[in-house]
Amino acid sequence: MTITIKNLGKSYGSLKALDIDQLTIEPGHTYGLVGANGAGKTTFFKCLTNIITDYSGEIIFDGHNPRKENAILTKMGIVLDDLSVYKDYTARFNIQYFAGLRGHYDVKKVEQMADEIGLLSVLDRPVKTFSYGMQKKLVLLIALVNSAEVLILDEPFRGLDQDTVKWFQNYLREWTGKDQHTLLISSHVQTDLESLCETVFVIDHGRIIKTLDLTADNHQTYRHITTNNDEAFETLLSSEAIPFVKTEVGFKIDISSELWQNVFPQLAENAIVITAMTKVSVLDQQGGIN
Amino acid sequence: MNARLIFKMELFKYLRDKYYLIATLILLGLNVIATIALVNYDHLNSSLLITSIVLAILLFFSNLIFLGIIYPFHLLAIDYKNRVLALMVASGVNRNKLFFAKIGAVILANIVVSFVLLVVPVVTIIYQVGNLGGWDELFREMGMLMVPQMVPLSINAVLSYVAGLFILMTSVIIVKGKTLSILLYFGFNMLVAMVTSFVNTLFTSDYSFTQQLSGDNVFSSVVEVVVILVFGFIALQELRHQNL
Repeated sequence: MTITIKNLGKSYGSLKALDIDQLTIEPGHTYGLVGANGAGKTTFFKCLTNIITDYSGEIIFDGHNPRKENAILTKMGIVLDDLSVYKDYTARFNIQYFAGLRGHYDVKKVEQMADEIGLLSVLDRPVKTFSYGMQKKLVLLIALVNSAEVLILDEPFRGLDQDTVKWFQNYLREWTGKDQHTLLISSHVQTDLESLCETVFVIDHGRIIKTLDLTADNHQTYRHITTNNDEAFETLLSSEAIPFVKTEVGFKIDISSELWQNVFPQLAENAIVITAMTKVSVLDQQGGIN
Repeated sequence: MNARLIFKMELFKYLRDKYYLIATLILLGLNVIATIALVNYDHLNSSLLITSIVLAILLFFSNLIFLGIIYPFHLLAIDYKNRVLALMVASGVNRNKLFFAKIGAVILANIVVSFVLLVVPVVTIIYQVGNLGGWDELFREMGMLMVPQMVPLSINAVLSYVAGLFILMTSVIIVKGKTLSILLYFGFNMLVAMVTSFVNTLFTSDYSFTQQLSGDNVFSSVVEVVVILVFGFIALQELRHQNL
């Protein structure tokens, strides 16, 4: 499903929350959205899903305007931080209800996924007894069981335990690799976006100020390194033709993981001890995230 | 996603509405007890009889408030109160279809709950009247209900009920399901009554107090239809453009 956005604008009083001239989301691709709090990420997602309707401009899904033909949204799954479900009802009811609205409820699939994220044993408990993380898992499950073509996820990992985050990341990697599925995700955790997205939009004050391509060709990994013997390390880098910049506290080097594995044995041979090493995010290198 | 599917899921939700189903059962139990007590009034001593009558009156108003305001308000506001409309709309639910499916489902649910609550007292009263030898009179009374003059009155009653629901739904949508909706509902009703009285005075040349009390059924029905259309339009416009 291709999503075309033209002159999208949304204001809260005098505050311009969104101002996007042109943006195209291609089917089968994965997109990240980064920006500071209040930059307009959630507003953007809410406009896409018709939760906010008083925006100016156009959002078109494969030729359909969701404000007029919102049945197109049945092909989407959404997780927003402030999405809520019926609290007095059970988790199972909520899943069945939202799946039922779309006309399809696959109990086996629901129970299997619930089991994988640790919700199976509490499916028949009222949601009001759930913690924040469990409610987030439930919203996640509702989004995932509907065989969506497009997933829109706003900070989906926040509040989830590590096992669920890992499961979800693996699920998304597998999901995005097939059937022209499209992923739109925002996260403040840069590594999440780097591992999942091909393209990252940087949003600031409602505008897309930068589009970063994270595909393999552009993907460089920088490391900040300090050693016990800077002179020997510099010689080693020069001999291996590894580009580096000497900083006040050590080195900033541009090196792939494979090359780093070649260099590593030579460190021991030259009695060089790495005293500190930090991997620098691709998004950080490009000044992507505030 | 069609309106039938939304309607079906609304009923699915109401049938699992545990607390309100329990409340309905409690009211049903109290109605049964009150009916039994009043039917056997000749076996009660005077103080128990007075207590039963007072309780029956209280119960009558409880039923009225529950069926007239509390239950329909709960059904109409449950999505706002749980803040689930955003997820519903993002799942592809059409706001127009949701509006009409919800009104339909609320009417059906209210009819079913009314039947459950009132079936025992009404059937008992009919049976009791029959036992007291009043069948002939009762049938005569019921026959009167069938005369053509009663048809517009019945239509008017149904329209009035539907108009009330539309006003309540409009109130709920405007204040997004807050309890304040009930006050707004009363406010709208007062406004409608004022406008209706004003229009009535304009069009009735030999206007009199007794005529107003007896009411012109056709005029009332037209008013109810206008109320349904006006409040339906306001509610739909508000819901269509509402940020959730």
